Amino acid sequence: MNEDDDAPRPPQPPPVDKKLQFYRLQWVGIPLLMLIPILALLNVFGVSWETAVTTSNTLTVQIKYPSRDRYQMSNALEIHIENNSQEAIPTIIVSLDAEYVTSFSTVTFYPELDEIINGQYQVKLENVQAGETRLVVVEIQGKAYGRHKGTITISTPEEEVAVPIHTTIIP
Amino acid sequence: METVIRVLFVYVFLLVGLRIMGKREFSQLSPLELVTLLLIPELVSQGILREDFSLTNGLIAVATLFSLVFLSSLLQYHSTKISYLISGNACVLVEHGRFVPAHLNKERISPEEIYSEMRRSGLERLEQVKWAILETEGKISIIPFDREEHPPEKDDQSRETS
Repeated sequence: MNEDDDAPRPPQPPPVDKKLQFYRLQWVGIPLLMLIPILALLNVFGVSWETAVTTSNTLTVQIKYPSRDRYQMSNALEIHIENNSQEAIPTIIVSLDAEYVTSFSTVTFYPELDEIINGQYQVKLENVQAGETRLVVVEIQGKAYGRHKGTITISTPEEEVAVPIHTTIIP
Repeated sequence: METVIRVLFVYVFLLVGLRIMGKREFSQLSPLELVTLLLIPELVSQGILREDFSLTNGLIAVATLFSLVFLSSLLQYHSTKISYLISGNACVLVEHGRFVPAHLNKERISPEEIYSEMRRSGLERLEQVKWAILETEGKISIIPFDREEHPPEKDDQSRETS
């Protein structure tokens, strides 16, 4: 560093009229290049979430899922199921489309997966009391690029609730 | 979003760090200094990308870095003060055949290094050197006296500056 006022100075160049001048390629390319971090700051390329809420006679289902995810990023899909009837429900079956699930790698269900039947990944919730809310969490890691659609079906002995979901995985 | 902020933080930190280290760190590296510089990306890469190894995240990081480099160069070109803050000034090591010891000490440039650069320029004596300048990118420029110019007396080979 050279902060000394009395320090010897090498020969200085003559002044030049400085202006903002660019090549044609730079006029186009630099704003485009700078647009990427600006859009990233606005979360255009980030993970985004959506929440779907459905109510039936006996259930209120709220599903929070990543509508946009990145390759190899781990995120969790949360399914809140509330028994809003006056009676306990002996069994609730939560099903996910195999087509949707196989778009992800390292898929983990909490509580554990019970079985895979007819292309449906199923988790059983037993003895859900009146007013009780149960949570099913599915940890997913983006694998296949593109938009993936699926349906989450919640079945009780009396009725069935189907909630469509979609996730776009960007590279 | 976080990647942009992390790249910005690391860029500013490295800019300040390298500025404090001095100009010689940019160019004339000893093996240990070279290893140190090579270690920096290894140390910060995980801090920037975290667990997100997607192509999108990598491209955002690179675009942010390119943008910062371009903005820095633009600001440096248009503002002498910013140019000084980021790159510093060229530093005179030899003036009219005499060492400037204060600058040699501050930049940690030994007289042997000056002589090495002089030999590369085909000069053998310090009195032949009109200017030896440590440029902002860390290289030493040697400017000899013109034939018509007279080198200084041999007995006074250094001047002291604060």
